[in-house]
Amino acid sequence: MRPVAELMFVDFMGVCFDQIYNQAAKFRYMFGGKAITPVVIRTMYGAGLRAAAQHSQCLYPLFTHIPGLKVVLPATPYDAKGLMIQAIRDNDPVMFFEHKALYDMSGPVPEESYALPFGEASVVREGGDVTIVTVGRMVHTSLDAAGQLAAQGTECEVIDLRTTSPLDEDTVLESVEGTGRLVVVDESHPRCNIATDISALVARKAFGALRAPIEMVTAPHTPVPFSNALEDLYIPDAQRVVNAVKTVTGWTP
Amino acid sequence: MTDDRIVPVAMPKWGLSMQLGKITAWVVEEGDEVSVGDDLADIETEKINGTLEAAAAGTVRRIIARVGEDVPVSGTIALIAPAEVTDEELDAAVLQARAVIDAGVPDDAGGAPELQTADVGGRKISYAGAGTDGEVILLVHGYGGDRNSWLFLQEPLAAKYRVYALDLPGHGTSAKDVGDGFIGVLADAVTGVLDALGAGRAHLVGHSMGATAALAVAAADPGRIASLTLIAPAGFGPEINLGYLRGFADAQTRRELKPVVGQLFADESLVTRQVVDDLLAYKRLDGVDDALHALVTGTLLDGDVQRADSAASLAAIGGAVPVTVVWGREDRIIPAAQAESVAGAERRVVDGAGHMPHMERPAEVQAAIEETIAKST
Repeated sequence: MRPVAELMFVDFMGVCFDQIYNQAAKFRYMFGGKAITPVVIRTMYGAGLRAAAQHSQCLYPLFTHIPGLKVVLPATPYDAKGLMIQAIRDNDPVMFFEHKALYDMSGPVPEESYALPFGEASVVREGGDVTIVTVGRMVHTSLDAAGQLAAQGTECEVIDLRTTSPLDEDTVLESVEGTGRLVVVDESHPRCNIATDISALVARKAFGALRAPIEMVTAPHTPVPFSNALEDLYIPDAQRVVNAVKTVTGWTP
Repeated sequence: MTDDRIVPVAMPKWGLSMQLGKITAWVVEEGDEVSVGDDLADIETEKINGTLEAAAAGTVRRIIARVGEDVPVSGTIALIAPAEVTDEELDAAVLQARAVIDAGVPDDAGGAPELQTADVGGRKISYAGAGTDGEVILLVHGYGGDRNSWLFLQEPLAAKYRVYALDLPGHGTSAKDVGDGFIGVLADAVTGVLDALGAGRAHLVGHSMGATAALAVAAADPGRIASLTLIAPAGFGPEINLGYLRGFADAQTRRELKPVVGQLFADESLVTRQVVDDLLAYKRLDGVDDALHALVTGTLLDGDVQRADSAASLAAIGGAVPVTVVWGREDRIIPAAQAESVAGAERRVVDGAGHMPHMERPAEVQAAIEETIAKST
């Protein structure tokens, strides 16, 4: 059996956390490879639907932290289908994160079956000046910013990680080695999130290539506000990405 | 533009779904003399980057489309005219062309024509057509390609012919099952599409492995075929690039695929990220891996040498129809030297092209196809 469980809001994951991170994630390891857990757990994440603090969190960093779990965050319809098929075929537990604000997005999807490998980032825009590493809904925010910046003469390379575990380190490092500048855009809270993880990776393995300090664009370290005006301010927008890119391109020692 | 001394240079339609193109660089300047086939401008579309070649000779009097500007397909981007045409006359034509560019893509512009399918021996075979009048041309792509390989040729040929391009089994949107992977499966698909079109007789244009399929169809029933144009055809010698064939079948990532695909072209800059991503998306469809490997060990290779005997197929046709062989001089997949061994066919070797002359030098390949057709009875 290859169950696909839909657990609604990722915010509710706390009530079954033991089964996910202590049981499912550990089976293969603790039974010496004799047991597999080919389960897919679908869940909805992210702010923007006026759903307040308990229905709007991102929380994918929590799962990325656990060895034994695979964490998938599609940003396009094409990727959603290919990554879901791969998730079902995978013998390990897969956390499949779907951003609420992306459900009404349309895009080309082949009729046929296809699988996208985990751990392969997608370079969704090429550019030589600044690398923007991002995931999930923020891919579109970053592309929007990159479009605005291109009109002003700054070419950004936008990398959609697609899976945060496993992580495609090579694509990130190769890009930064070309551009020398990194902005990480992550909708989750700023402590111990994907932005800090990618920043640490690049600081350790591509330090010599960096021509400016790394910038992170994230939500603030607060619960997601219920106030419409505050929620809009909470979610990273294209303007903040543009500002971060300008900071790294304008930096002088 | 009613003055027929002024020849408009139009934004080409590369691929049936193309609506807009962007000029990334002009190769010529106002005042330059150009001959047919000279490079005019580099153009970028959603799918591909290419170089527009001059379809007419003369003096480039006006460049209308700016670098970086989106131009609707068939919009006039430059004017070629002799010296006797006055500046006032040219300015009027520029004004007209400018209005078309500024208007953008018309709302009623159709997208890609609907894909048609035929059931051939239980396999779904896809094909798409362009052109409403004239004789039927069927374009047959090579190993790992699909009907879009003909994007620089299908629309231009459609001015005079009904031009169809199919997806061979294992490719594009056709069924991915290729059975034993031997040539019969491919030849049946070609014949099946001709049947579906109700084409009693048709001109076949085949590339590489697709040329082998076209030859097999013609050899089996020469009366069915009016002419054959074979582009970098397989089977005219033992040698073929094994690293390419197996590397393409085995590649799992963009990093592995890109250098392999680069070998197809004389100018590797044609292999954009979009080209590689599209190929990767194709390779990841269920069944494609098996199909590509089966075609390598079935149709293409016998051990480490080519399996097909195209000279024998050509002999079976016995000069019943005109045949032209076109090769890119810099072909790194099947060496152009194999053209020398082809007997009983017109032979052309195209400069500045690798294994894909129909993408790198489309105007010359188009001329070869049209001249071959003109010789048919």
